[in-house]
Amino acid sequence: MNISQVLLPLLVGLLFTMGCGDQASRFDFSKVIAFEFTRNPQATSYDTLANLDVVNFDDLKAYKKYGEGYRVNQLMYEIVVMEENVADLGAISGTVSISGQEQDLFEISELSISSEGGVLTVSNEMLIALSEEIDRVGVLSVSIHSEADETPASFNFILKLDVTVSVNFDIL
Amino acid sequence: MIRTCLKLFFLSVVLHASFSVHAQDETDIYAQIGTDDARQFVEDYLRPFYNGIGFGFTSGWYNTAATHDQWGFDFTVSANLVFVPSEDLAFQFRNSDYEKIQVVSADEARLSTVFGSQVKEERPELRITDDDGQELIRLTSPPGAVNLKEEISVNALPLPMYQLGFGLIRHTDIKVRVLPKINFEGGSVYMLGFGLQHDLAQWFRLLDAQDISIAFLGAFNNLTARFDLEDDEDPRTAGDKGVFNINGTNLQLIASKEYVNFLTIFGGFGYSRAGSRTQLLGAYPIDERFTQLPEDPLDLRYGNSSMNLSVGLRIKLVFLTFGVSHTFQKYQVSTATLGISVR
Repeated sequence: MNISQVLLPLLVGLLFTMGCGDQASRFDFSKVIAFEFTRNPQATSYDTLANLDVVNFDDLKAYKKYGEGYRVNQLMYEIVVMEENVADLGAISGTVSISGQEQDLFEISELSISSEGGVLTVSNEMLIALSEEIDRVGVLSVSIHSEADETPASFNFILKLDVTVSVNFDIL
Repeated sequence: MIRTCLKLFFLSVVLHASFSVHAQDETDIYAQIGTDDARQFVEDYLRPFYNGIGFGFTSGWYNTAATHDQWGFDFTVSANLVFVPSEDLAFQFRNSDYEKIQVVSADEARLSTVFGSQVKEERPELRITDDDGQELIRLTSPPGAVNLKEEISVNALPLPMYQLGFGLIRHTDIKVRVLPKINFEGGSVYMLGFGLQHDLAQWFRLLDAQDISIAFLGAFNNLTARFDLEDDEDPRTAGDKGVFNINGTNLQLIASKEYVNFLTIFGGFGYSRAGSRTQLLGAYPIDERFTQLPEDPLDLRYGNSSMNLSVGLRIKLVFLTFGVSHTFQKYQVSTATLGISVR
């Protein structure tokens, strides 16, 4: 249960019963959604590929049938370190497939594995490209490459997307 | 179906609507944003609606200061247009007044009320947080629920009313607004109002000689509507209902003068007050993972009072009367009346 699942019927009920106009049926809902990338702790260098099903993500799928467009506002990350981890430093980079073309998404060349996370530096052009890719196929194909100075490197990388979905409850 | 619609309408009006307020797989917005935040937001959002009803409810009691002869009577239907002030199309939302709802872009902002802007670009973004202050979601603030300007070309709330007037002794009229209790599927509504209008000019020879009518009017009316909100499939909701109650008081000093036997010009000065109460009574179980709503979870009270000044004219053709008037007050009211008047 989450707030979006609450607000959706709430707003639909409100709009249907009060007979609102077209403008009133338009909302933006923004949510930070997180995808966790696990790695093999025994490898200093490791690649993980995942398809991020943004439109069907738990907190956003309620809006799918009303959605008119998606916008990626920001990318963030979080490192979850397990007890057995001994690695201190590393590097992480990500690539994404846009229209079938692999493109650089971000790079953290000096990663303190104990760090909790932060905002990823991503160009506006890339944010637009990500948004368009979600609009087009609903899924982002992301590959994460991680390096660690020692093993076991027991940490997971969480990629967070601040996503806005523009909905129009009138489109049904 | 009618019952369901009434439920939805009532619940929507108080902005706690959910298609499944009783359903176990849904929760109520209360559970997420807290009872206090929800109540305050709803109060501010709906204030112009209740103010409008209040000002309209206390209007249209008279269209002349002249009282009936004994046993004379009238039946008058009035259409009131209550103008919503432009400043009440939005309300000032301050983050400091709320715990779990915040405006994203500033410390405070103007948000749409029930009659406010529906344009998405004019509705600031809100952030809703959990108990730990973590962001749950950001969303465009709610739109105005009714675009009056689009529906009726003016930001005004239309309210009809009707009343009966009887001439008693000493040029005193009793006015009655009554709607016998009507039971419909899922609810009931009734209204009762009384007014007394007494001709003062009869006590002042000079005014009587000038053919000027001066009268005092005191009036009170009350309307109560109840809506059954029980969920037949959930015995815990037995007895759940919504109750809407409004009452209005009006004290007026009225003057009028008749010209060419059929045209009456009138004016009035006085005070009116209206108070309303909207309640959700009973138990409204929600998902067990969340804090349950308190018993009788909603109790909204609004009150407004105002000095006012009215001017108008009435045309009487034999028994038929037509009138228009305008009342100057915070929520100005234009009134058109149609009726029959005998003696």
